[in-house]
Amino acid sequence: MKLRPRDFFDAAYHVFERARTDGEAHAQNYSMAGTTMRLETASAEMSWRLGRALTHLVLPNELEADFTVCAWDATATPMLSPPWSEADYGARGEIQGFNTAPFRTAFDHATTSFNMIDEERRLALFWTRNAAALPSYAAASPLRIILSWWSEICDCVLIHGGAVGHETGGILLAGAGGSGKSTTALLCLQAGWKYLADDYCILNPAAPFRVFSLYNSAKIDQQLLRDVRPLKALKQSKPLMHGDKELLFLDETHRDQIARTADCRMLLLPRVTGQNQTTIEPASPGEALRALAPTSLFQLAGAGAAAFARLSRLVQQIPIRRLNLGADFEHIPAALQRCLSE
Amino acid sequence: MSYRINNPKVIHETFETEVVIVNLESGNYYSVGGSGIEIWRRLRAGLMTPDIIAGLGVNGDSARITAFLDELEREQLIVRDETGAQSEKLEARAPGVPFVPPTLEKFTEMRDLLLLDPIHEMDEAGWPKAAPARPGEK
Repeated sequence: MKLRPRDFFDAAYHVFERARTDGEAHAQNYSMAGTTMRLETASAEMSWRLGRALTHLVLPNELEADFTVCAWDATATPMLSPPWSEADYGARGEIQGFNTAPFRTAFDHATTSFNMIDEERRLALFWTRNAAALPSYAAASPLRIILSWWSEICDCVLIHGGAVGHETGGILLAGAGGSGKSTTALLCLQAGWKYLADDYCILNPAAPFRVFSLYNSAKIDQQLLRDVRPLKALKQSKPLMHGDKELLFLDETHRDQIARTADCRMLLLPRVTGQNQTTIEPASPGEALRALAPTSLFQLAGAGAAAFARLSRLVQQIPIRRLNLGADFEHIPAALQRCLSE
Repeated sequence: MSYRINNPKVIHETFETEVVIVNLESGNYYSVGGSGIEIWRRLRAGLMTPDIIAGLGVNGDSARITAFLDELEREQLIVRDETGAQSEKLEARAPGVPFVPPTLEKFTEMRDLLLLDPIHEMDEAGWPKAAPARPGEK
């Protein structure tokens, strides 16, 4: 007989408890969108893999957690077989029949990880075969599916977007891969701005809008690190790579400039133009929603109408500008600052 | 004939100058412009096709509207609704508002993020093995 979501969740949680007893138990609290997340793991390897991009969010372990994520792998303790069939996997990894409240379940094919949350107990499970074999980008943006579910519980939304903060306010950078989010965020970092994200962050879409940092990591094209003067200092001697991009863990090099949260005063839509000069011009809410929603929704299992409604609300209330990125990289942060001062 | 929006697979937001539509199943998303915005409003209200055409006051352009509805149906953004239920009343469109041919711009680049043809190799325990890397991943 097919197990119910609750039965499978409980059985999988028992496997975690066994793995934790057999292995090396670790626990650490983190600040997550204004709440306290506790990450419990069964090995030092898993703690390192999942925690490196979160070090800027560390909280004292004495704090009571709002939700707990249990993470382990099968290197020491065998995992249960899934009670669903191959036909039950959805296009974004969601498991048919295992997404009825209070449960959400997804298999992330990119990281080969099982993700499940019990929203009532505020308890989530993350399992993968071998933590040491997780791809580099999984360490740069760990637990993304579970954190997107948690964001929704907190009336927030996890978005595919960057964010930077200045003393006059924060800016959200929205756009698909290659639009220039990372370049803009890192140029601002090098110009003294606060850094919150280059790729993923959490947004509270109720005015006054608030953006929360999720990861201290950044991915940047190696060629830009070589060619763009303000970015050259970020080049590492033994970089962790993701394709042609270097992965940076900025809490290790720019601790004072990593911010956990900022007021979000403006939404910018960067795009690389090939022109010499960077320009900023008005953009419509529809254009902003197209830049922000599909790329956010399609990367996250289960994200749908609720996240879309929150993003729709945001773009109808926040000032939006198109950021036409030119080759004058050193002037880009000043252009953003002028924009905030308008 | 009447149509209904293909909920919950399709999510959408109507702005003054554009409707943004996302098809969560196919991975495509769309921008509707021109009088397509008003047509979408009328679809949301559950109006029958003749009422959509009549409400726009453009009998001479009814073929364009019908073709637009066909296109929305082909993209699975709307489906035929046999119940004929009309959920809300819409005011007749203000006279003098010009008819602008409806447009449907389609964006497909997000399809790569979906596993539309999930062929998984399973391990002995029944868990999927790693999927082939997407471009740029390793």
